[in-house]
Amino acid sequence: MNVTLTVNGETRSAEVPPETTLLVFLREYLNLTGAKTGCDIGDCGACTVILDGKAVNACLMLAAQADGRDVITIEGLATREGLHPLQKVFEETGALQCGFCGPGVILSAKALLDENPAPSKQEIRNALAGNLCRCTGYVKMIDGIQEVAETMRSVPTPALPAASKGEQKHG
Amino acid sequence: MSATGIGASVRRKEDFRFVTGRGQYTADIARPGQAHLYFVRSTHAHAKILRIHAGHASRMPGVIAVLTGEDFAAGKLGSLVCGWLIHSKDGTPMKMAPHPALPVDRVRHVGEPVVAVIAERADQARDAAEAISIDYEELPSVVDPAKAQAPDAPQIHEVAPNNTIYQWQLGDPAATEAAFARAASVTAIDLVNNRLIPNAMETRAAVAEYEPGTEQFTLWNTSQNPHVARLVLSAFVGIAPEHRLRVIAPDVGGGFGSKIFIYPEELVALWAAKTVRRPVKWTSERSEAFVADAHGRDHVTRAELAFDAEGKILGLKVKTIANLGAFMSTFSSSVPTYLYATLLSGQYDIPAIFCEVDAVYTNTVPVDAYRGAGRPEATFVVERLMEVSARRLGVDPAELRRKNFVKNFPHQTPVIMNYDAGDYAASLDKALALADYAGFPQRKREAAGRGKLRGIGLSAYIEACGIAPSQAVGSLGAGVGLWESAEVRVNPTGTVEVLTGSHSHGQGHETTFAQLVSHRLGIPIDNIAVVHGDTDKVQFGMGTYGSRSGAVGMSAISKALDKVETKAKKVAAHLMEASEADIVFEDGKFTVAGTDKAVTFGEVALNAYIAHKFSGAELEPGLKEGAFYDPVNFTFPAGCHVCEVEIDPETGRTDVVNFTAVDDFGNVINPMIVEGQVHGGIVQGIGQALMEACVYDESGQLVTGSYNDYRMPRAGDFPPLVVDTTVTPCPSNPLGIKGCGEAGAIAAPAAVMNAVTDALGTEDIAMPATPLAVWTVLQRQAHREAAE
Amino acid sequence: MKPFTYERPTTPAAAAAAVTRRPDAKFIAGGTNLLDLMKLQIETPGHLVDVQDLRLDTIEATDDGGLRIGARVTNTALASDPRVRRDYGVLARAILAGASGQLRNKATTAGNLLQRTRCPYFYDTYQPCNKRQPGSGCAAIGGYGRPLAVIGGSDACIATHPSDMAVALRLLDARVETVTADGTTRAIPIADFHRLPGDTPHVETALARGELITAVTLPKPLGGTHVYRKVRDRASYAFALVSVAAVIRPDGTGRVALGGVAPKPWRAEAAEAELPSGAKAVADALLAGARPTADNAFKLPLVERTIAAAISDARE
Repeated sequence: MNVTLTVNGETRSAEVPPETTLLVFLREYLNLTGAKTGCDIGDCGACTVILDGKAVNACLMLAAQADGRDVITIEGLATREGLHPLQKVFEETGALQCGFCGPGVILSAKALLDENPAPSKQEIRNALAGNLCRCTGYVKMIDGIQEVAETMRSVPTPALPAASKGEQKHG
Repeated sequence: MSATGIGASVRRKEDFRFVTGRGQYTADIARPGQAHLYFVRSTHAHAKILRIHAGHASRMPGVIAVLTGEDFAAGKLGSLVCGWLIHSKDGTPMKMAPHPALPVDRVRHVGEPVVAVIAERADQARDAAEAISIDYEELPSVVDPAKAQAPDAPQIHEVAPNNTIYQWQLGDPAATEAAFARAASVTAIDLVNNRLIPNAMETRAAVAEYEPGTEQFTLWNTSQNPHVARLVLSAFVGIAPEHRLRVIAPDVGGGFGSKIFIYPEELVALWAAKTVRRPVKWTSERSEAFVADAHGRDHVTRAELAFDAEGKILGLKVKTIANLGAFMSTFSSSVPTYLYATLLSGQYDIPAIFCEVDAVYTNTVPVDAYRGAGRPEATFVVERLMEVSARRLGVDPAELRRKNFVKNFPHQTPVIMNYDAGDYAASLDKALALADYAGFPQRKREAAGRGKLRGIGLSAYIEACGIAPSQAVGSLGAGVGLWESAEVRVNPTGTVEVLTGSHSHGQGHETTFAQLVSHRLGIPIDNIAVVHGDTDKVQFGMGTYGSRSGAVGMSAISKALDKVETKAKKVAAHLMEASEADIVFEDGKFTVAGTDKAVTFGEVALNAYIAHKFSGAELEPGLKEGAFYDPVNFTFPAGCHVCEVEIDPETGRTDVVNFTAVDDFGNVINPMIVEGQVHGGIVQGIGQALMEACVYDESGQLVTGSYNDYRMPRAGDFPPLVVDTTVTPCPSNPLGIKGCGEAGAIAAPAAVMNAVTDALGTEDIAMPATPLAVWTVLQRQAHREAAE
Repeated sequence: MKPFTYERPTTPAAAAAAVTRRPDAKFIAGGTNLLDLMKLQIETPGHLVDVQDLRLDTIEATDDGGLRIGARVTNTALASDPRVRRDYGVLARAILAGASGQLRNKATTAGNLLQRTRCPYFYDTYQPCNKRQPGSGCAAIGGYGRPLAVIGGSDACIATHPSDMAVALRLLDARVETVTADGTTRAIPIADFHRLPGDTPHVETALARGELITAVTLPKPLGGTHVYRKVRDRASYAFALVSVAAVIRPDGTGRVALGGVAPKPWRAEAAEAELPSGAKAVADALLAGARPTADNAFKLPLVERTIAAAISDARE
């Protein structure tokens, strides 16, 4: 069947069997391997992408269900102007180690901050409840997300969502 | 300290690709024309294979081949091996059973691969695998190490009567008995060190390719040590000569030990690639990882500690049964022996130690090194004993420790190790201060007012890292040397490539190793690339495990840099027409002592290659040096962790409310990275103590085979961790580094359990202290009180 | 996953007709549970009917002062709706006590009600399970029973219902509205929606084949203090060992429902009369006739303690 959706601001389309998950669609048909296969049943969050503004597990969704909808993957988060503040703070503070869970964690955090620009530590922890990391103990991730929230709040005009800038980029 | 040199919290060079989703892990690699491999795995803990019905599956859509143990046996390939030979106390060698990649007639644990299916697409391979049925004759099984040696226990391998692999001992039994005979008090405890499932977030994967024209194999593999994998696959298994097998470990998503080992799956992938003449890709599903990745720990121990009347330790006796699972994994034999018993002296001056270890086969997944490997088990024994002893003797646990600390270095323990440096009182004092140990009674009273049980526990751990020297480990049975290699390649433009035999899978070597080079050569860190994980690019190396990459891997780089500097000075001498002896190298500049003549590192690099200023008879062109570094001793990181918990008696839930870690890692290259390593280790250690239960039922089925049942620590589970360091530089390597990767996982379990038992007022609880386990203890106490 | 075909109809009746036509068809909403089970081949539908275009994703006030929640309203949307947070706090809290943000963003109201048990033996396709394969036996009975039911089970099945949300809906006396292929609608009281296993543990709800949930309605608000207490093995992301949903009025009367103990959300209206007498009396009445195994007997006193804690929460 044909699946057509918007990925990082671009219209992407492919013929796939109906049983193709969104994760397989992204990784194997669009060659976007930033979303990872960690458990493939929604427990670990390594496959997290943003669908119509909400963080979801790409492994627990059919590509067909995403037909006509808008997806942001980690590859679409940085803009021509540079990294997203979350990417930047994760880099500056060494919040990742092996990096495998990173794309999912960053996108969960982005979805949180898009909805709640002033989360408490506990709200950040809750937002990461669906993301497993075995390396870091989550400490620097949680601190980093809080730091970004504080910085973004102190900037008068919030950054444009990555997707709209992505369109310019791929123009 | 420069901004990018040793001691600076330099931002990690690898992170740009990670935060942008551009990391290239094995599963991200797609080779043109690749086929997919899927395994039919044993559903029985122990059974005879009667017949494999694969005819229908082999005709299913997309199926290219179905391969069984008989096909594999016909290929005349060798067995997987355990590379560390342990001898029993009677002098007999360990009873290592054959471990073919696919079995012919018998399965020995749930999850053992039995049939390999290769198909065009991954889902086709999986569908065909599900269509294969196997007739088994079930055999009785045993999963509990404490029951494996019973006379009526089922025999798992013919070569190992009573399922006993070895009965090993270390220390002086007579001296230890004598110490106990004159003891004023003895503390005895029974401990279980719970089995753990490593669960690196990236599951294992392999992509294998065979080029018939050159008979060359390439294997992309989730490996912590690609050269060792190549060595085993060529020398022991015989899949290809070493020079015709290239192993690449690209970005690897965490290892924690589980990716050291050589497993059946990558071997089958290589063999299948040659058989079907197609690249073959295998990616483990998470459910497979639970039953196919080597597990960790699984010790049952009885330990006794003898004291004199003044509270000084006289002796320690330990008897452990270690479960090695159904087969001996690559380094499994060393974990409960030389990586365990040699650390039983802890931070203490113990005159006599005697340890006996029986290693047994069971019908479970093989058990091998997992973050800490033997040392967490040793620390758990020693530090639980110290805490329990202090409670029984009625003294402050911190003071009992302090009284028994080793204070003079070097210190020879009765169990091989020679501690080179440390200051155990310093880390204890700092930890107690940071944790406000003195204020604990007040906090406990306050918690009691809220109906909560509060407890505090210490863990003054020691570990031995950078396992070495090769000659010493060889005498103890190691099948390999444990040195490390490095090559420093200076390019004509003055940029540098460092080729290291270490492998980074989260440790940040691309940054820390570059910091060393930047520090030494005075060049910007952006001009340095660290190359690792490819046997075609990098000289033979031993890989990364046991917190060895700083102490051993960087020392090798340091040694190569010495040689580069020596050669560069010769070039500089020619350039400036001065005597080599007068050349001084500092801050990236070569100067002639006592003059204002100077050339930069870049100019020297260029001139080394254009070779216009010296003749070939005087000096070889080029600037590239290699080194192999074999340490003179282990390193001994140590420290003190303090855990404070609060238990809700209503539900049995334990919350870690404070956790303080003070570690002495010697000199630190990158404090930011070290801090992250400590955080991760602590959380894994707390996970072991409070959450992670690996449960087999009596029939050998793994009950905890998913994240629903195997509780991994999540972001909501912990308070912020307070992490600090003390420094006594390591005298045994040029950089003074000790190693930091495992400390948290080694120290934390004992600290947590000491806190939990303090809160509960009983020692009678095993790891993991889940809400259920805690609640059960509280119920028992309530019944007892009611009965009184 | 076994191959299947897929369609996205645009009206509820058309969707119901599509599933009614094919015996191997199933509805898919969020898919967070169904796709998981399809990957394990515990569910193997030949045809999927996606309900996302049926416009069942609004929350509206009803004439009698309650709320009608569209079947496809996500758990996130439901828990963050201001009316739900204000008037049905126990429902918002129950939802937020379950799963992860990513799953709640996908999971729907109807799908949550229909999720299958997390009994480990149901998930292990190499073990007998009457729910998965009728007549094959139950490996959980006599097996590792810790997460399983202490009441309401049968000799064929002791699995628990995993939903937190459903416990709150049971407490609130919700009704489940449905439509069939011929356009017939009905409203099923939540008490009758989930079935006890008896001899047919594979039949889990009162829904007929092809009957589509269109909405869940809540009666007008109860008032009182709303509490949801969930006991599990860690702070987040775990199914309940025991959960208690309660609404307590200032005079000490109220309602109590339990999760984690039975094959369906567990409530006994008669037990609620005991609330003024305290947690023990309520627990005893709720759990009269319980048949725990050695592994899960802990749940009985745990229920009592958790009810006590819930009552005390309500007083604070």
